[in-house]
Amino acid sequence: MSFRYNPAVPVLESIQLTVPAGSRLGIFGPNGGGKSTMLKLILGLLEPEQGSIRVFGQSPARAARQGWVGYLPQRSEAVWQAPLTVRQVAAMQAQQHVEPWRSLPADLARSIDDMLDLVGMRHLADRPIGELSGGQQQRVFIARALAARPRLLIFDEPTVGIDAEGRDRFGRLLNTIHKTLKMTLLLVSHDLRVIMDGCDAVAVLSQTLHLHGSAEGVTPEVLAEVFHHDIVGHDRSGGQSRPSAGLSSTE
Amino acid sequence: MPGVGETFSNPFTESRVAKHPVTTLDYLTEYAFAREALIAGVFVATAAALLSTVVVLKRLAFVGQGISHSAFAGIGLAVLIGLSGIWSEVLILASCFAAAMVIGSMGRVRGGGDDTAIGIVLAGAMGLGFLLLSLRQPLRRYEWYEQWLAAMDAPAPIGLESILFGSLMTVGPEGVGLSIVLAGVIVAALWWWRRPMLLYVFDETVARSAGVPVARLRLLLLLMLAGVVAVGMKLAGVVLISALLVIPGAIGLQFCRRLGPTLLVSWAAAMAGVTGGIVLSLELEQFKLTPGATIVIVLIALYALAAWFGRYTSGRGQSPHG
Repeated sequence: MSFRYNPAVPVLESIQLTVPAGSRLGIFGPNGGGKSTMLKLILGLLEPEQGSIRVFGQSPARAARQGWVGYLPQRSEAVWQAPLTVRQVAAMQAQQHVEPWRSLPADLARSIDDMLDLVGMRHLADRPIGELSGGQQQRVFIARALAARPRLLIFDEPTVGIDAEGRDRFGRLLNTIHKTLKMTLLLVSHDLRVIMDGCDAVAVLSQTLHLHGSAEGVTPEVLAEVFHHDIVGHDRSGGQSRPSAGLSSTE
Repeated sequence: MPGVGETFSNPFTESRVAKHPVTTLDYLTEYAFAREALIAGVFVATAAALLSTVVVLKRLAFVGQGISHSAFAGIGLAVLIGLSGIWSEVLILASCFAAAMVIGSMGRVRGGGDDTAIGIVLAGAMGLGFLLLSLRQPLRRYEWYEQWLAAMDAPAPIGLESILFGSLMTVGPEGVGLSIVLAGVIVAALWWWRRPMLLYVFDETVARSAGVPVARLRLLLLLMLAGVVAVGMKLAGVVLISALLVIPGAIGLQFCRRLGPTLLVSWAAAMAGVTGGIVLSLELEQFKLTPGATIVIVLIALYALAAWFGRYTSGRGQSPHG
């Protein structure tokens, strides 16, 4: 699969990647390497220029409509002023498939509370969402995605702006989710530690796929190749990159 | 209905003021126009209040402005053609719908954004409306145009002040019927699509990734706004109707932390604004206050009260993300 926003600048080239159902894949790479673009393609928000993407055998748009995909974006665009409780936010995605004339089924309501329990937010279920801290809101959003019972859960840079303790807590939560719900997890991050803590395999991405295998395969040579590519790529298109930011987080 | 270019005058003013300071109740029992305005106001307020919470949360206030001003083009065309009654209403509604669709589609055009689209549509519709209104008088020199107006049984057009700032006397039975249908359709649509609409309003990115038809919901929202503008503009005027789409929601969000109470307070504020504004307009008629102006004044007074009250409740809605 290949993709470009601008005909002159390829963003993703000749990507061939299969993720086994039930596995945990971390997508790692420098800023501007095409990680978020790849997620948008998997979510069906963009169409590949060449090739195709199948999500459990269906087109990404169809998989999204079936409710098979849960997504936690890097920067939440949520409207914090909305007068909604934690429970209402957690229920938002799961209730999309309930017919308009029906009220929320009791088993679905229980499942939403269970997911809030899983992420440790049940005790705040009746609190307004705007009163929660950033880390608490992130856990509510994870519960929202989980409550819809997706077959694939996608995290885009989930630990950006979170301190070391929060990062460890997130790693533990990821392991709990995988053990409890057995769903496929896709985690995009420029922080290799997060991927090593919570994933079975890693895909190193910078315009093209440099490696797909275990995290131990991410050697200093691979990192040098990937981040060098980043420097050259950005220099060609205006020289605004700061590759050291990506490297420093992996050191 | 008063004619174009005529000064807004209330035929009941002199007799009423001469008699005694009559109460609004006398007006409501004696004159159909006052009853019609009040009934239409109640239903328009209901529809506007429900939408206003969404307008505030999705930051669509300027969109409301764009749609309301584009009603002017529909009015201009109706006056030029000589349409009256329900056909005039349909044309105004069509112009608001057209504006909503243009704003909705232009927002996605490369290099454009919502505010650019609204700026173009707003100015274009106002310009076109004035142009069409101005054409009527010079065209009357031609016999074919006079014959056309006679064939259409064209009424004397509404005064400019009434178009811009509303008039109780222009609502009529058509306005009452349309406001009831409008409120019914908007309440039903919001209830039917409440789940996708809630996700779309709260988190558009996640809504899109979850397969929610975001573009269709946005269009539905714009069409509902256009409906409120087209039906409510007779009461509050082209310039001031958008206040009814913003202030009630802003009041509800000032101090409510739950969805149900927020909608209820928004509705109560809209009802108080519209009924209070109509009563003020009737009671102080010797000052010839347009209902649009009095409705907005009451709503702003309520907003100031809510803001003052809101300061004493805990600091809500401040995202830790800033």
